[in-house]
Amino acid sequence: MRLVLLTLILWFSAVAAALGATSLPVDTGRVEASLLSSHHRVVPGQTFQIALKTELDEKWHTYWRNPGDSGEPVQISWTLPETLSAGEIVWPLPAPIPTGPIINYGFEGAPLFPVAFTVADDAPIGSVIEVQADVYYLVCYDVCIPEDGTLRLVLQVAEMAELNDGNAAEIVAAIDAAPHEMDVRAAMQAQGEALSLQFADLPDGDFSDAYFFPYDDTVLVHSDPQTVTVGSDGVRIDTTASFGWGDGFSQLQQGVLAFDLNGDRTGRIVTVNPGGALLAIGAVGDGSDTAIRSAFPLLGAILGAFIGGLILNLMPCVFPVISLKALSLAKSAHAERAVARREAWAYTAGIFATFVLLVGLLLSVKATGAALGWGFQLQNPVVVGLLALLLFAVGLNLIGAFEISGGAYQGTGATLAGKGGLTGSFFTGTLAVLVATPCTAPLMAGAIGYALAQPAMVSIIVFLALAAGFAAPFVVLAYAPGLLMRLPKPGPWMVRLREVLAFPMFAAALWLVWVVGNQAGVDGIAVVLIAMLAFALAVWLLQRRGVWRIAGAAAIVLALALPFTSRTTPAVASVDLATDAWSPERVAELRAEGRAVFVDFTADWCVTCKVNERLVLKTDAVQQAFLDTDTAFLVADWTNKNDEIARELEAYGRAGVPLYLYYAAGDNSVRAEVLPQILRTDLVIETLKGTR
Amino acid sequence: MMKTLALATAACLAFSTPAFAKIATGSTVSDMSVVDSNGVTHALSDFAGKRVVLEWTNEGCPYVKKHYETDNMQDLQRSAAASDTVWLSVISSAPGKQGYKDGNAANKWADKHNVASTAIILDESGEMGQTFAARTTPHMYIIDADQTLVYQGAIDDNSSSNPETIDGATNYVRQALAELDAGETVSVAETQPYGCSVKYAS
Repeated sequence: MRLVLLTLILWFSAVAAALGATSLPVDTGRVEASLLSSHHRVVPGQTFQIALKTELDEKWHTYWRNPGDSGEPVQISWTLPETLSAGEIVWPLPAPIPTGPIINYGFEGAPLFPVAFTVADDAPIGSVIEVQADVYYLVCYDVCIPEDGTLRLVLQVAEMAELNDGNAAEIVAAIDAAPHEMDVRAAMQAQGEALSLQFADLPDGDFSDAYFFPYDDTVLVHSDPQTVTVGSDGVRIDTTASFGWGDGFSQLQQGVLAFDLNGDRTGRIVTVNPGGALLAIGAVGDGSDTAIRSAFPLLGAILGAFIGGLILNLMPCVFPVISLKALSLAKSAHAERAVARREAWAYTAGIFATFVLLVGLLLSVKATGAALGWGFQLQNPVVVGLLALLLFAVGLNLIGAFEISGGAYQGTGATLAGKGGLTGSFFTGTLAVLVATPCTAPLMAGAIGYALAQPAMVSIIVFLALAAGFAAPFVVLAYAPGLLMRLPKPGPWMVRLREVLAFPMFAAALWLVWVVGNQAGVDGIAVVLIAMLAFALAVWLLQRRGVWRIAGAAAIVLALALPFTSRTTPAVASVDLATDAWSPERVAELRAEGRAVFVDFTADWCVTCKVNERLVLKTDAVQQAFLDTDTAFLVADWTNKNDEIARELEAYGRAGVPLYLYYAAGDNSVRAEVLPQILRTDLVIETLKGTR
Repeated sequence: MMKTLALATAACLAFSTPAFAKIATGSTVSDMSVVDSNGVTHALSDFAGKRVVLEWTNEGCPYVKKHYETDNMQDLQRSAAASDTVWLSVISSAPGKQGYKDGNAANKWADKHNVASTAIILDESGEMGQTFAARTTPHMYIIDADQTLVYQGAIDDNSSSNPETIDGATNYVRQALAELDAGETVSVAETQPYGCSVKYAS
C-alpha cells in the first residue's frame, strides 16, 4: 500500500513538473493557492517570473500592501537556493472594500502576485532549483481567518530557456494589469484635518472616479470619502489627513492612483511630494452641463459671464437698485447727452470696481485655504444687516422721507447712491453689485465656478466680463440717441414712479431681514429692526435744528453700529420632518440602506434656490413623488459658511448654490446625477421615478 | 418651547457630525453611558480621576486570540488593575455577527479566559465604537485621569496574527501606562491599529 502511495506521489510530482512549473495547489480553507512559473527551464543569468496565485472563495477578500482600516497584507516568504534571488511583489490594483463604516484595501476573485527572480550566472547547467514559498494571508468576509500554506516548485537550469506558455501568459497579463510607476507631478498638503492631493501631467483616462491608495497607512483616513475634482490639467483629491501628519512626512510618499481607462479600472504608482507646492489642476468641468466650457473653456466662461451679467439686471433683488439708475437716466435723458454718458460710465466704473474688490477679497481669502464661494459676503449677518439698513434708507429716500441736500450727510452708501451726479452713479453701481450676488443668474453659475478654480488673472477676467454684461444696458442706452430720446420726458410722473419704487426696496430690505433672522435668530432680526428705527428717527431729527441734529447724527451712528452686534447662531433645523441635514456620511448611510438620495444645496439668500423650493420641491406632487419612491431629501444649507458644503460644490465644479444632486437607488457610482439649476416639477418627478 | 428647540438643535448637530468621527489624541473624550455584561450602566465621566484603558475585542478574531491565548492581554489587564487603572473591554459586534455576546456569554468568556478587565461593555449598537472610530480588534485607547485621550492605536508593533510574534514586540499600551505612571507624557500617542475589522452592523 505504501508503495502504491509513494508511486502515486512520485507520479504526481512528475506530472506537475512535466506540466511545467506549476506547484501543486494548496487549499488553505477559503483560498486555493498555487505557484506559477513563467518558465520550466531557465538559463544562468536569466530573469523570469514566479507568481503566487490565490483563488478566493466568493465574497472573501485578502489584503493589499496597505490593508486600510484593518487586516493584514498577503505575505510570501521564499526559501531559495543560493543560485536564485527574488524581487519584490508586483501588487495588483486593490479595490476599496467597505465593511460597515470600515474601508479596507484588498482583492477578491483570483489575484496573482508576480515576483521577478534572477538565476545566478554561475548556476550549473543541469542543476535543479527548488523554490519554496511559505504564504500567509488574512482572508475575511464576515469573519477573518489567517491562512497559510507551503508551496513548492522545481525548475531546471538548462542551456535553453523554456517557457510555460499558459503560465507566462497569465503572469504577463497580471503584470500588465498591475499599477506601474508613472512619472506624474504630484503633491499633497494637509491643513489641519483636510488633506489635499494634486496630480498633474496625467496619462489618458477618466479621472472623475479617481482614488488614491497610499502605501503608508498613516497618510489619510481610509474610511473617509475621497472627493475628486477634475481639471483640464490635473486632478485634485480632497480627503481627511491621518495622524501620520502629526510629525509630518519627511520623505517622498508613494501610492497608487486608480482611475478608469476605456471603461476598465486601472492604476499607476505615483510618487507624491508631501508638503510640496500645490499644483494648478486647471479648468474644472463636471462634464454634465458644461458644453460651452469644454469646447472653449475661457471664451465660453467669458461669454457666459457676459450674458449672465445682462440677465442679472432683471433679477428681483437688483431690480429696485437698477430702477434708481433708470430714473436718474430718465432725468438726464433729455438734458445733455454728455451728462448721460458720463453718468453711465461712472455707474459702470462703480460696478467694475466693486466686482474687482469682491473678487480680490474672495481670492485672497481663498488663498489662505478657507473654503468660500460666490455669495460669501452674504454669509455674514453683519453685512446682510447693513445691506438691509441700506435698502431701507434708500426706500425712505425714494418715498420722500428725506432729501439729500448738498452732501451734508454723505458717508453712507444710501445717500451716495441716492445722490445725483457722478459719485451717485458710481455708488449705485456698487450697491447694485452687492445686492445682485444672491441672485447669481443660472447662466453665471458655471462661469463663476470655472472662474474661481482658475489662476487669479483668469478669475478676474471672467468677473470683468460679468461686470461688463451687468453694466452694458446703461452704456448702450446712453450711447444710442434714439433710445434715450424715446424715454418719456421728465415730469410729475417721475415723482410717482420714484415713490412706487420705494416699495420693492422695502421688500428687498424685508427679505434681507429674514435672511438675518435665519443667520442670527430673533435677536438678529431685533437688532436690524432697531437699527432701522434709529435710522428713521435720525432722518426725522436731522430735519430739525440745533441740538436735535446732533442727536440725529448720534442716531445714525447707532443705526450703523447695531448690525455689527449680530452673531451667527448655530443652524436650527429649518427643514421639516421629511428632510435631513446633508453630510457625505449621511449620503453614504442612506445609499447603503439602498435608498435613493436627493440633495438640495441651498441658502436663504439664494433667490433661485428659494424659488425652486417654493414652486417645485415643496409642491404636493413632488413631495408625494419623494414619498412614493422613498427618496431621502437632504438639505445642505449654505446660508452660513460651511467648508464641507463648499468642498462638495467645488467637487461638482460649482462655486455657489443652487446645486441639485440625485443618487439613484442601488446605483453605486460615486458621483451623483446633477439636475439643472432651474427645476421643473415634471423633471424632478421623472428623475425620482426613473422615467426620465 | 426652549427644550424643543434645544432638542431640535441637538438632533441637527447629531446629523451633521460624521458618523465615523474620530477623537483627536489629546482632546477630551465626550461623556457617554454604556452598559456592561452585568447590566450595570457606567458613564465615562464616572471614571474621571482614574486612568481608563479601552480595548475593543471579538472572541473569534485571530488577532484577539493571539493576545488572549498567550495570556498577553490578561497580563496587561492585571498590571493595569495593579496601578488602579480602569479597563473596559468593549464588544461592538452587532447581533448575528462574529464576536457578539449577551451579558451571560460575555461573562462566561471572561471566566474561561481569566479576563481581568474592570468591565466588559456590550456595545451592540456600535455607538461607542463609532464615537471612538474603533476599527479593529484589538484597538486600544488610553484615557488619562483628566478624561483626555492620550493613546489610540495598536496594542503592539507587530501586526501579525502569529502568537510567536508577541515576544520581542513593543507593547505600546504597556509602554504608555509605564510612562504615565512615571509622570511622563506618552511618547507614542497614536499608531495604526491592526487586526480584524470591528463587526459593526452594516
